[in-house]
Amino acid sequence: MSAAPLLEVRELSLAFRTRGGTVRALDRVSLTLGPGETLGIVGESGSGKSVLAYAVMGLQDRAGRLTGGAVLWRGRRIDRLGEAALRRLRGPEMAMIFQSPRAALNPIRRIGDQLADVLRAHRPLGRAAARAEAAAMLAQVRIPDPAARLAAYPFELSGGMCQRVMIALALACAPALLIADEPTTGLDVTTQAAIMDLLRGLARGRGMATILITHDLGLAAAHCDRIAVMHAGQLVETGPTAAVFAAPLHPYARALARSVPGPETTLATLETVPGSLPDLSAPDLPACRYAGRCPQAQPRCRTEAPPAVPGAAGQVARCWNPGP
Amino acid sequence: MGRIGARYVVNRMLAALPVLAGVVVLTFVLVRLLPADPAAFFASGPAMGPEEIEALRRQLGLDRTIPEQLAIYVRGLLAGELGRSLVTGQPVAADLAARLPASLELTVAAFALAVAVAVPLGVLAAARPGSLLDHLVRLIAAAGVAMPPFVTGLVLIHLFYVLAGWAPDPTSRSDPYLPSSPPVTGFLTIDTALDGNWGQFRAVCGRLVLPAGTMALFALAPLVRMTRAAMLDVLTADFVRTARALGLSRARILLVYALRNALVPVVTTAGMVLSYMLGANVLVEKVFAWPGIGSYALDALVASDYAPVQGFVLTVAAIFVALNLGVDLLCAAADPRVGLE
Repeated sequence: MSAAPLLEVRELSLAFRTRGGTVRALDRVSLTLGPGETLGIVGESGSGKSVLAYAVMGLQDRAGRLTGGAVLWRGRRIDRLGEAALRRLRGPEMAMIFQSPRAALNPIRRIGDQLADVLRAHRPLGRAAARAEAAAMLAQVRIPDPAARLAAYPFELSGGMCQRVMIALALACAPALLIADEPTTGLDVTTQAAIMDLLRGLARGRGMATILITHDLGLAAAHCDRIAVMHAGQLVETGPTAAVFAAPLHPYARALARSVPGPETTLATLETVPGSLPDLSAPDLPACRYAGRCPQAQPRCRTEAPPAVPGAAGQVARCWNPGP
Repeated sequence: MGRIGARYVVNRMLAALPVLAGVVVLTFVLVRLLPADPAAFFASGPAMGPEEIEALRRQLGLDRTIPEQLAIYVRGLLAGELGRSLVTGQPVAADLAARLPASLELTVAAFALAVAVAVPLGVLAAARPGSLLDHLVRLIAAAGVAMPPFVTGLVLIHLFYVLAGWAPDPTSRSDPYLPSSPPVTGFLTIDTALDGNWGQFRAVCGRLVLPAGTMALFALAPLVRMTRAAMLDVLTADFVRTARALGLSRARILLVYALRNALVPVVTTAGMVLSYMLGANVLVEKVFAWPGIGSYALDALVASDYAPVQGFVLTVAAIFVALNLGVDLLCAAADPRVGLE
């Protein structure tokens, strides 16, 4: 990375206060993202991928509190900004798309009005101009007959079409970063491919950085420049996509890479990651939260935070006992 | 609204006929189960003996069996007659028509007041759950449920008329010492305004404040609770998160994205509250000596005057049915996904 980072997350920790105790959902997560770069965040469900994304945008729910670290946008801290200042960032600087696109759209508002809402929230546009721009955005996400679709309600569109509308909403104000949270979950395979191609094409054309959050390692491998592997709220390994998948250092990253089914895999030979995520509200979480599941764990894995170990291909793992 | 056909409305009105028929039969029978004898009640002159009472009973048709009486009543209904009041000596239809505007004016004013207060309160409480305002709203909701409207009415009269002296005396709809305006709608606020009779207009509005406030307090609780709950529900929806992630303003998220989506349960509750208010009117009208159909029915009930009671119940039932239809039409207008078939 030569350019100054667009986004820098420094040692970010976040906890949810719940009735069952404090859930430490993020533990000193650090990552950087350059302009135009595509980063994949992978990990099993509950590993904190989405929580991290929401925390970056300041969208964590009321029970969530940042307990340490910082988020820097173009070198400026944004984790302490008020709602009004964050509002100006959301849309023109960073935007987000979600899984279950139909639920992510306002069910009783015409999609043209929803697009106009976003455009007019950030730019002094008249009604007619916003409408024209909305139609242009629908054309960009390759929705046929965009001018007529402006009047459609989300329930009149397919899931794939709804995700295209969601992408149009997110890109309406030309953000420098798009966070895509499981954007293709729930869509059929051909639609998945079409949505991912569309996202990649639009990101390249605009020089837009993308964070792709997914538990689909194949998807991440196919579309991302770099990969960050998360486990139980900790970032265990980051690096160039090829390095993380071909020569993972962290035992969890290795187990994940092995669990990707190939053409010859059968149910009998499919490998899984043994064990399950630790309870994040436990008061005695080990320093490395993978220690309880790790075949090569040592006593100090539980007591001392693991160091960052660089690998030969540019990957970095946080582990006391990284593998080859 | 192309989706809302005239055929739907007609079908709904036809479907309401059995309901109204049931109401007619039920009230007719229930009123006659009351332990009172209208003939004896009205034959209360000193010269009246058992024979005179018996003659009056025959004259009123009360000596016939209940099914016979019902048949006579239904025949009258089909001809558009609701019978005659023994107390006023007038046809019940005329009495009700003369008094309905007073009830409607009071109910509409109270309802408008309740909605105007409850919806913003519910929205603000949901926007900041756990805040001071939220707790206040919950207190209001609990108090509104706990206090019956006639008690609230008496308390308000005591506070604002007896003690403070701010309110006009609770005995009429208008100031008898000021000129009245020609009746156009029967709504005195509108009639005096149309006439430019501003002195009387102010007097009429002033007399409306306490009874309307009493009924509004009663209606406030369910409305504010439903608004708050529906808003809280919608505010956790994915599309509200989307709106935040795209930088829409807080006001737009609350009012356009959340409130409009919360509207269906709020409108449904509002319809129920409004229909319930028409029934609850009875005691509030009595407390404030309001010349509406509620106090009319209550006086008739006390006097064992059957026809007005039956006419009142039938009128309220018809308004109920119309309100329910209106609520369904409004919900369909508020949510394009609601189908009307």
